[in-house]
Amino acid sequence: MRFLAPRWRKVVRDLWSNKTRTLLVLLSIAVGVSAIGMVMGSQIMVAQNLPAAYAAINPSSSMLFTLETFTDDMVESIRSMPEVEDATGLRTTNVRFLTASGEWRNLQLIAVPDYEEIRINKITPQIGTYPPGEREFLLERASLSPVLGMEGVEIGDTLTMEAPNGKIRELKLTGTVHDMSQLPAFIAGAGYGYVTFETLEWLGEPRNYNQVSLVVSENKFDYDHITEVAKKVENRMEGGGVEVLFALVLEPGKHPAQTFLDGFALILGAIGGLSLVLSSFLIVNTLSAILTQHVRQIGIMKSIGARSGQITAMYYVMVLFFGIMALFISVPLGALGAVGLANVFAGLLNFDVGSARIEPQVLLVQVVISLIAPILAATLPIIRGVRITVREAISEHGLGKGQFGKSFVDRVIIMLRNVLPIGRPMQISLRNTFRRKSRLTLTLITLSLASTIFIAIFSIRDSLQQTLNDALAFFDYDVQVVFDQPYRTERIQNRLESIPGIDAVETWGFSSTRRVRDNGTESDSITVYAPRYDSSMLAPILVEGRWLLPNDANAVVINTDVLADEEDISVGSTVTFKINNKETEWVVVGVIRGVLTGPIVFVNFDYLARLTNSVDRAVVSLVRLEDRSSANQLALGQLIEQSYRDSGFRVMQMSTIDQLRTTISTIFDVIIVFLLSMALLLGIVGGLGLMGTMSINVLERTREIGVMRAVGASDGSILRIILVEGMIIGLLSWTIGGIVAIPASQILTEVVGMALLQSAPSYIFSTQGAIMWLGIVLILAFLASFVPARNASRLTVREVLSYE
Amino acid sequence: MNRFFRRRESNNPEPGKVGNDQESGNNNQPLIQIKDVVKAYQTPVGEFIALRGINLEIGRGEFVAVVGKSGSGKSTLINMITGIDRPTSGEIFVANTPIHTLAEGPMAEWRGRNIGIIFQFFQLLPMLSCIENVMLPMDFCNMFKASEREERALHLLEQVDMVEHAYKLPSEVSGGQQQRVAIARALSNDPPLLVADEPTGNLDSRTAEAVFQLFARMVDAGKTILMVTHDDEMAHQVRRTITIADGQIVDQQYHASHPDYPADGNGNHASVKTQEENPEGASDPAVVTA
Repeated sequence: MRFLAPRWRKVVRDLWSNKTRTLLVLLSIAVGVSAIGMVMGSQIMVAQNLPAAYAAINPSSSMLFTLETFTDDMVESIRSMPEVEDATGLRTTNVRFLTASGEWRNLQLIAVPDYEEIRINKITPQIGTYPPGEREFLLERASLSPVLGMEGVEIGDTLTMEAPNGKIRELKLTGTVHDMSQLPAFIAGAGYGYVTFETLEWLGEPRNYNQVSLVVSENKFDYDHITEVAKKVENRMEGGGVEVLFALVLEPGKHPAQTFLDGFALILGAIGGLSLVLSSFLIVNTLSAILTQHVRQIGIMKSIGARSGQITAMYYVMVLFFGIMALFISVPLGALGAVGLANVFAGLLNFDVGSARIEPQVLLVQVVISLIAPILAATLPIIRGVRITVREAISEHGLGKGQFGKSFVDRVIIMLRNVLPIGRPMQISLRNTFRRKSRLTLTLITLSLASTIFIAIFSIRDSLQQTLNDALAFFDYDVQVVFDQPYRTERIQNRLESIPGIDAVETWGFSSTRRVRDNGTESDSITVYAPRYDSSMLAPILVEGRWLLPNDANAVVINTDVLADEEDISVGSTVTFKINNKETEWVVVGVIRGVLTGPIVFVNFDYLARLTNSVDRAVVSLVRLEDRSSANQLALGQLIEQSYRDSGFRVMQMSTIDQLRTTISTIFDVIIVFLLSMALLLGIVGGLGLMGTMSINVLERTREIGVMRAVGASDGSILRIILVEGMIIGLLSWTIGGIVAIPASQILTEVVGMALLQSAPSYIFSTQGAIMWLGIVLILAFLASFVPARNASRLTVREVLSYE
Repeated sequence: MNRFFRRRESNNPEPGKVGNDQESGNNNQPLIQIKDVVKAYQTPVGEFIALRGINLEIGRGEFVAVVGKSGSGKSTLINMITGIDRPTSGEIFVANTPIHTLAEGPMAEWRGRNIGIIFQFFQLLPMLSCIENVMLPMDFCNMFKASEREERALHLLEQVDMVEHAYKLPSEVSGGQQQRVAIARALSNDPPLLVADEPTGNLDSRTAEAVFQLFARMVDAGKTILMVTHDDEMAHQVRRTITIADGQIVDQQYHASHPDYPADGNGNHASVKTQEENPEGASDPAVVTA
């Protein structure tokens, strides 16, 4: 170090001799900069990988699902349309497989005509053999998960499967593939298997298609154009006698989950930015403390010829050092966090992001932030500290700094002793808390923000949970069985009469529709439910108007999700719906709240049956059980399904409300765990801030502590006074944070709700979260003040009174 | 041995730098001139006047002690001379520089080059070794070549018998030794004037005596020393003692070592008239009383 001038040696030694403080500042900066690196890095990784990977599969512009099957001739006919560049037929079939634990779980089998010639929605072989042979199947890689019943399943294993027709067959798993066009299996609640048409025939299913995927030849990224082409294809298919259930047109060129990711990234960016702001507060506090401690040294340096500029430069260099060192921590930490976060997204949406790497633009932002933010934060404390005159600096005598007793707050605190039975040590703690008001303010802002975010995140969790409960309460049944084709309602209901433990069975009509707007354009697909007028399995929350009456004919009740897309509709409006290719007019009589279901309209069962020529027939059987526990739902659900199958029903899917709840909860939990980890990050920043503040407070009052000792204060008393001060700050931050959380939680819940659900969720304030944070903040406050308190209690009178 | 007590050539000479007796060629001018200096402080209980119209001149090469009770204003007077504090009214010239007009920044640099300050509590920077403390003023004021600074600091430490502790931290040496290092630091930029605020107040008598001897040697080498002290014995060993009470100079005594000492044949010192008695010129040694 001899090459350094003495003043720079001083800077180095100041940093080195206060390792804890140096570390505290480094961590303060590093937390914020790492958070920014993590959020930005993950966004870039996702942005670089997802669109490219999605484009590489040549995603379909539209997919049309049909009720009847069709042959290669129809596919050829579609392919020959000038608007269509390419089209391919597929068949998807829902089967059940037997898990290791003896439970039947659902699996969607996709039959592809030629695995070597997939041109649309390409799949990529992962492990094992490709393509699947006869009586073999491949699994989508994300389907090989214990959550989906695949626990212990390995490549080479044979699984027992049951086809919709009831045939039981043994299929060998020979490998996995990656299929980005499918909704991630854990979100869908069932895995995806890939077989040949030969295997499908062996399962007893027809060799024809029930789905067509197409790519338009022009304007590939024009949603309206694609919708128009899909409409033409639909017309051609229906002209050829193939009824189209619905046509799916997703936002072109974008992975279906991109919107969800964008919303999520926005929230993460906000939290990252917030941690940076809080870090800056910590830097302000810590540097103010360093400069307070160095006042005398600054005076001495000035007295031996140092100019303010030289001293300022010394402290800026110190701050720069903090920034540079923090950068060394933040860059790898941020990159690791970024890859971790990107992998969470990738895992959720089933794509690859590659290994951890440092993105130049992220690095640049981190460099700028870690150097600029501390300098900006440090400027005021440095200017204040350096401006002190030599006389002020070297004539500091007496007891600790920090005025108390002049302000209104101080007077209120002094008056408290007349109102509350507060002991002397407690009074000291209380008054000490308010001595350094600007420092207290910054600490409180940091901790209070952490409180607000924590409580808000818990409120988001509870609100999402509440939204889910509302959604599930909306449909008041336990087991839902969906058939492959309509059956007579009497047959559906009678089949279950012999099964004990069933409270009620209902059969609903089910269809899909599109609104035909006044200008001739059509809306996205809307689900039509047609419950019986006396249905006891519906608990709609009316927002406006009324529910359906038994005599209503063309009356319709819409949910708020319909209004989100079709803003011009209101109660009393007459709207045109196209059901089974027939346009009919309906009168909107009520609006109900949407609950995670997407756009739904409700019409009377009988009227829909007449319109669709399916009087007294249904495709859905809804069952409410006497014992509504999740175990009974599963047990009876399987029994009901088996009973239908035994009677020759083609069951497409059986699901229980509990399974639905678990699937949705899993998605919510991933998000909540993630948001909570961000709240924890803010908690750490807050804790660091409090620790810094308490250390500074104790250091400043060293002489005062000596005086208290000299007049008889024990180790315990000193320890208590400081610990209580920390706890008071914690408690104050909790109170302020909690109050701010009341409106903030609602706003954040709406933002997150809109990002995740595209609708405002049911809002509840989480008192549980508030109570939990109280516990955490008190523990944090205790830990943050314990070390300074213990150090202070160990000082001897001689040490502190001779403290210079 | 006085080689290092004398100013060496700066590699960055400053016009404002004061020369010593041998070099300035302006020996007739007093080094310090204080004219009608008043210092008042605002306190919560009203105005407090620390200095009440001080007039004082101190010549080059003088060794002056300022004595007085606690709160009499002696430290305030010292702070006026070092530019650490500013007068409410009046003028202060140190080597013809009107320091009462200097702004804080130029003042710091001027002080670093022209005054060496020695504090009661030594005030060495605890994280720097003794030699680094001594080198610090040279660094701040850009005095002497960077390559020469360590050698110069070592020589200064040698003069104060601290060379063997040069690379120790202040906490590793005794109070007396710290004060020696502080003296070496004060000499670092070879200033013509040393100002010491109770330099021996925190030392035992033997160490205090050693420090005083060090001061005496510096005076012999041409330095001017102004020292606040409570130690009567020490105050009598200097050439002039100024007594302050209630913000005024109440007495000035010249001792045997003073060139203008009016011999009374008995070896007794003489007292100069106080300001009140002699408002024309408090430091005029020609006007004396027995």
